[in-house]
Amino acid sequence: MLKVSDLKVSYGPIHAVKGISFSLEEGEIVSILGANGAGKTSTLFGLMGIVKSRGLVELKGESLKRKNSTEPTTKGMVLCPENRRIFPELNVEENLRLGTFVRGNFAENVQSVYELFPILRERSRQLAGSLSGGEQQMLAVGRALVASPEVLLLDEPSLGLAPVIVDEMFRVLKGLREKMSVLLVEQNATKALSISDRAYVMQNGSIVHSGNADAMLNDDSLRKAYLGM
Amino acid sequence: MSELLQAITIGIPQGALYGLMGFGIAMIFRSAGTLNFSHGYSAMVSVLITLSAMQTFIGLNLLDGRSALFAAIPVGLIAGAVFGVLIDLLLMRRVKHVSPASMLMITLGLLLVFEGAANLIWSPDYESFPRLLPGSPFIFEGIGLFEGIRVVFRRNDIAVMLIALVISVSMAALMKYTKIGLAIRARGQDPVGAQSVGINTNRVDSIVWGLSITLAVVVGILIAPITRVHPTMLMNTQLLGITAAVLGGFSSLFGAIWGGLMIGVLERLIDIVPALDGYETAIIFFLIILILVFKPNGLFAGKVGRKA
Amino acid sequence: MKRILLLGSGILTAGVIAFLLTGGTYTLGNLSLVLVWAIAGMGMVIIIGNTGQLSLGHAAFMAIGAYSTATFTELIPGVYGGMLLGTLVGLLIATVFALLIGLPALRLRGYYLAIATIAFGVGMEQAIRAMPFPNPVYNIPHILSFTRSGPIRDVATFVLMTVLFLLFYAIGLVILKSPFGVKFRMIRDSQVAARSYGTNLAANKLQAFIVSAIFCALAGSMYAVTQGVIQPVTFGLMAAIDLLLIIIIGGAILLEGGLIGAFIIVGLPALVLEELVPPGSLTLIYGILLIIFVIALPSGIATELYVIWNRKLQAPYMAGLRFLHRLKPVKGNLAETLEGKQMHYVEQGEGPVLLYIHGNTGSHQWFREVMVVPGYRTVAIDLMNFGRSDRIETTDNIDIYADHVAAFIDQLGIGSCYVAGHSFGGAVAISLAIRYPQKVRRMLLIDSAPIDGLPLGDDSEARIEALRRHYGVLKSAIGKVMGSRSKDRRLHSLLTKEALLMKREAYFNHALALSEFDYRESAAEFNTPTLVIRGSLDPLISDDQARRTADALGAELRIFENISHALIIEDPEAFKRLVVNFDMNEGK
Repeated sequence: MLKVSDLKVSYGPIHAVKGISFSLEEGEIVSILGANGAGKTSTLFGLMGIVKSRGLVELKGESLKRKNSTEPTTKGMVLCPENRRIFPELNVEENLRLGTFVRGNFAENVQSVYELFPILRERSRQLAGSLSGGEQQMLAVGRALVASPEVLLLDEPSLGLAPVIVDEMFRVLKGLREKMSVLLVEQNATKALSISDRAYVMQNGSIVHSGNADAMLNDDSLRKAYLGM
Repeated sequence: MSELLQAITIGIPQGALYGLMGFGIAMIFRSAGTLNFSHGYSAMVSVLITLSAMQTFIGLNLLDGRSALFAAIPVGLIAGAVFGVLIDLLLMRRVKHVSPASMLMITLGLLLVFEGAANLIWSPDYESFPRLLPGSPFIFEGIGLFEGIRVVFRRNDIAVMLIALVISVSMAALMKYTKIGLAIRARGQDPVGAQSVGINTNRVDSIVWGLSITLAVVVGILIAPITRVHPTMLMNTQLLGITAAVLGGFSSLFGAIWGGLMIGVLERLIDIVPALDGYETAIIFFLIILILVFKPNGLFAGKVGRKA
Repeated sequence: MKRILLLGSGILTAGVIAFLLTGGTYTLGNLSLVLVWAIAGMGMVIIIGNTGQLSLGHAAFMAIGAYSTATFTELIPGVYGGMLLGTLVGLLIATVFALLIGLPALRLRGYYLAIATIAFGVGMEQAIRAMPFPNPVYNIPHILSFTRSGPIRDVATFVLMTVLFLLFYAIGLVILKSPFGVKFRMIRDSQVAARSYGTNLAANKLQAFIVSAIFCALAGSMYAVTQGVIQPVTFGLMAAIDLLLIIIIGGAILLEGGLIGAFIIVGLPALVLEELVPPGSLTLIYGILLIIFVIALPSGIATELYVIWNRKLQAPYMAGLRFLHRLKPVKGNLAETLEGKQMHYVEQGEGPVLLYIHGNTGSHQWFREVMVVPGYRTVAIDLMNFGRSDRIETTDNIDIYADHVAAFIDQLGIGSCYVAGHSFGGAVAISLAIRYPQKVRRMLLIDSAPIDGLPLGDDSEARIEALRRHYGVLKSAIGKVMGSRSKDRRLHSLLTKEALLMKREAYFNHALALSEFDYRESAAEFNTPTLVIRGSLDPLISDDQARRTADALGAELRIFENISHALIIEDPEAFKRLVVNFDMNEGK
């Protein structure tokens, strides 16, 4: 589904991502784990063309130019960014409508998003900035889903949420597997591994470990070394 | 009483123009992230182009006076749009990621470029510009209870108000109901969020620049009969437009239009007090400092704070 | 001080050149105007370049200065009373306005401050327009109105403006170098850091704002009394942009940027361009220049020149100095040491030989004031790779240097001598005395490199590289080890130039050699009578290190109070007394 070879992202003299390669198969949930500053978000931004990157990114066998985010999004790869990044002065429905800016049928898809997150239906006329943190995160995920992505890039969906809401969020994410492939970036490694098929561990811009999610969950030394668990 | 009403009737159309100017300035500020000090100057050059086009049409005997004016207006509007897009493509895109101060200084540079070009290609002289709606003014005389009240409406002012109203309404509709309008607002509120839904923010910026300067050209064409056409014709309008945007708090685009109306009326009202005659612009500018300091989000700041 | 003199002579030279080129004094009038704007430009350098507050309203302070001066000269007849009072009142009003505007506006950041200040600037212009001044204000008496207008007045005005500019330049320099300046830059570089450092942000910003306002107000006053005519538009929006242009093009960090910028923005049009280009196009040119500078050369000319000077021109500059210095004749002799290499030395007097070995970046010149020691024949050498001695391949081995000294002693047929080693030379002396005990009768170590090595600091490589590449850095480093004698400019300059003669590849290797140097074990059998001395203020060698050296060599340690790293130049008489009266003759 998604194949990445030798992806590099630099900000001036700082090399945030130093040539990493990984893949995501159809119907898979794959996690990228690692500490703050490991280069996870830069990887996603590089894939989406939000920052300049070098290397080969193939979506469904087709190479992406990544000059801007429009191209990857149109072709089915959609990002749900870190820190929600919703539009605070637009209402919930307008936020979701913008989710279909380049792909997806709004009228159709918005219903399934409302089913997934019923609270958003209730608040559809409310300004997004007035929602609670958890609701904003649901809106952010909903805004990505409404585009009916084939590959969903999720950046820290559990960041700053109450534990109950984190559980709810992961329950929803687990269910996405039937409809799309998911690349999940998370600091909450245990949670992420529990719903993933495979995982990569990043450190200082490089992938230092990869493997089966269950095996990684049981690998004590790995968990201590990289994941701080 | 007459004076007061007259001040308001003259102030409102004037203020509507400041408001439209401020609307464009606020739009660029919100979306493209810079305060455009060349706003009125690029529009001024476009007005000069309009004037030249009109004179050419007349000179070549293609059209007569009024139809030449209406044929020339689109030329000026297109010129403004082209200036806007070019400024973004050629200059702003290079420094967008460097620093906000660089963008601001480039707009100051552009101010000089436009003024210099106007002096060089055209001339520093004042040239007259035809009104959209010529003719004698309407005069209202009060009767009965309002005996003795006399208010004069200039015809051109009515055109100005109508056009300002139409533009405001269509801008509101554009922002609210069209995809591009939503994209412009989204880009201003959260650039990364906008890119996440596939909005090409660079393209949005170009559109914003083009649109804003086109609006400024409209203002320029409407105000030209009063100021006449010369290189600094829009200097004060631009400064008052910035002021209007400040009153509106930059955060809401339409705040700028309300802000503009207030300034327009205030300017006329200060004028009534003899002791303050001549000081109106100075007073307004000093007021701005106070507003910036005490109401930095503008006079009409909503309750929704801007969250991260 | 040096910068001020340099700049002053530069300006005067420019004046003379301008005079010679045009053959008239008219140009000097233009240059005076440049200096006036340069004073305002320096104000902008302080507030924008150094404090990071983007103010676009400073032209208004010029207006305040100008109109105040004009008003008072009108009110108070007589030549100078009104002018002086007006200027002072102008400064006062500017200060008050800077307070009034700065107090609230400086709470704003970035664009908002820019808007507030431009509103102030334009508001002030409009207010002045509305006030009952005649427009324009004519016939403001000239600052030198006791002279008749003409060439003499032009020249005198130019000189006066130069003096005034230099005065404000000096004031600016003092402010920027003072703790205030440090805090200003802290505000610019990071508001968070400044706050955590306990800096009172608001107060410091306001200080910078007021200082810059005063610079601008004075420039305004001087504009009025040199130009004779002012009008509101002189200090309007365009003036505000001109001020910005001056520091963008000149450079916003260094005060010199104000002068360079003013010359380009105000001077060139009047001097040259006006005749070359069609009218009106100047604005266009400056607009394009501004854009180009912001995109391509954002730090401005002064800063770029500074960078070029420090990065690119130091090597040729130092090479030139080295070449010139080598040409100077020295009354020394050459003696062959090893492998046909020649060692350079000077000598004086009759008696037992006292051999002087200098330190790193040193030469025989370090001993020039202790050559006359009654009863001794003093011999000061240039070590190999130093001074006027030959270059040898090895630079990182103290023993090789010592071998050459040993060969030198043989060559001169001295047999055995007294050896005094300073700093790096101390290490050479230790190596010599331990490995050639028969050649060293007694040893004196002056702030010597420690016997157990002088460790390299964390960033020594970079620092040593800076010494090698930058004359100013080298000079200040040598000044530091000269202690109180660094005030002696001629000596300081001489010793720095002597340092240039050292082999360039050796800078880092000498430090490396000293760090690896360790003669503690070899010193076990050592029994040459030795005295170790150290200046109490020595920044390089610690008391502990000197003590360890003395202990390892079984020597006495003597401390000299109020002396830094170099007794031989700081107090030569004390050194000579030490040599004559004490241990050297008595033994231990």
